[in-house]
Amino acid sequence: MRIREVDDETISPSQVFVEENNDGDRPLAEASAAQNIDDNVLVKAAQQGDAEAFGILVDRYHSQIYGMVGRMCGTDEAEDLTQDVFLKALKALRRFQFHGAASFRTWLYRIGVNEAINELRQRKRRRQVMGPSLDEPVLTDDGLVQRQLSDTTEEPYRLTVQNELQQVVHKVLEMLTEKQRTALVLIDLQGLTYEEAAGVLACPLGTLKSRLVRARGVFAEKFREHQPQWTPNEVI
Amino acid sequence: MECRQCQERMDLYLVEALAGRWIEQFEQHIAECQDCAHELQQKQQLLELLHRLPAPTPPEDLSARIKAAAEAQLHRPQPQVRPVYYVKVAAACAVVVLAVGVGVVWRAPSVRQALAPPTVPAEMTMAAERQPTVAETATLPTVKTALAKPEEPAEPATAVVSLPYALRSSAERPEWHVASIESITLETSSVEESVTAESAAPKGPAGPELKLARVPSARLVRTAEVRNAQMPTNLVKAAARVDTGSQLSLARTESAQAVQEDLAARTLVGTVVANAVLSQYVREAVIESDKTMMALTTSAPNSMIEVTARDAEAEVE
Repeated sequence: MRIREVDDETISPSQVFVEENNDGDRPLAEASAAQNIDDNVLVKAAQQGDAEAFGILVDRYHSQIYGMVGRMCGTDEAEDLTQDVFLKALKALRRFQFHGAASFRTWLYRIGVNEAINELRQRKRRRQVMGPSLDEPVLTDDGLVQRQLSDTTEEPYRLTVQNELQQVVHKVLEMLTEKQRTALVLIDLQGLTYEEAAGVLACPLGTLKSRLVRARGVFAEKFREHQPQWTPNEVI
Repeated sequence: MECRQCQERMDLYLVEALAGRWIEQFEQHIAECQDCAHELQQKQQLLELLHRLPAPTPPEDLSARIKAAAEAQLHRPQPQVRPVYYVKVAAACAVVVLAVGVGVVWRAPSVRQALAPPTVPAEMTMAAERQPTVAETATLPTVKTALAKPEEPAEPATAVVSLPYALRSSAERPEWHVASIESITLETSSVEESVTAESAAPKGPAGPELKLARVPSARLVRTAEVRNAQMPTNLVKAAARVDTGSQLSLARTESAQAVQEDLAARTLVGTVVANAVLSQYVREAVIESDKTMMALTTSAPNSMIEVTARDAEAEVE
């Protein structure tokens, strides 16, 4: 089977695949080929109303966006936020254009960061009015304690340690300023490059690194306060 | 290198912002000093923890739900644009025109003559004579509006305004002006409401580029001034009138890495090492604010600078 590269910007991704022989594995091959289509092609097709093209972009990036907003705001709202990010992206897609190194992923992340920050601000306002949520972990002398019991059905020890670490990391992230948290999440947790993260935040590279230095400093200090017994060799 | 210097530079090393001439000394010290090596290792291990921590996993059906919602949105009739939208855009454009007007005044020949360098090196002249094209300055041409044709025929100024998203309100724009404005970029996002003003000073390797960025959460910056060491008469001076605060970036190069210091974080105690490679052309920058005064100086080309911050109030006491 050979897949022809698309050379016409108006062609839908559904037209991209040309099956040279009928070997019966077309759906699998198409799915595989879809993963190889360049973002640029998909975006241009989606801009012309191709839902399938947009769907491939959703498949490609929804996990990353979910991970990012989940880390920024917690997983309770992550599903709704992720959906909002893609719907806003769809709405604004006609205005999106590729500019040099600026990528669709960067643009999508930027929308995601905006959504996450808006959510955090709304949550802060709600908390000021209504007080803390009953679902939030409780800070005790032993550190943070989740009100719900952890799922320990599989690999209990590793999952417990991992869960505890994730809770502590999330709690410590909440102590950072929005900018610091965003820088730390994008680079140290989501693994974006410095250049990508600077593009997402639309700030100079040096500013980003400056924020990251401060964020790491605050994070390390607070993390050690909450998890003094943590050792680097601990299972993750 | 002493342990204190090593520890001050450790975070910069980890974000790859340590200036070249320090890297070798830093690594040499780490190789020789067990304490510093241990501290560096601990920082790296904490970062490793963050890198390895699994990301939250989305539910399996999330992708399908998003696609269904997207499809429904695609087939929904588009709402009509409300007239108020045009009013807002018009108001925003009016602000821009006013701002450009200030720039045109500053570009008056008498002012330019007063500011012009007596002699300009050849490579600088080439860069100075080159005017940026529309394509170069329009960074986000979603809504491109060529505005404010100058009223001064001898020295036409060009303003290309990119409005990536509809400006929410003209009231959100801070007051500002910069001498010799050549291009203006207004950027709006909910992450950072920022206004960036680029000076008309020669771009590229020949001269300084000044950017003033405003973000709502930052504070205290009142004035900023950059002196060009090689063209001392070509003083690029900008005053950012910022009531609620600002983040100030002074940058010479296009990569905007010369000096960045976020004054919002009030952790500037004693000597702070800035992640900056200061251009050889910028010799001095003074940042003054209500409570903080910083002096940035360098004379060596491509040297890392140290930002000395002191609390002005404390000093008075």
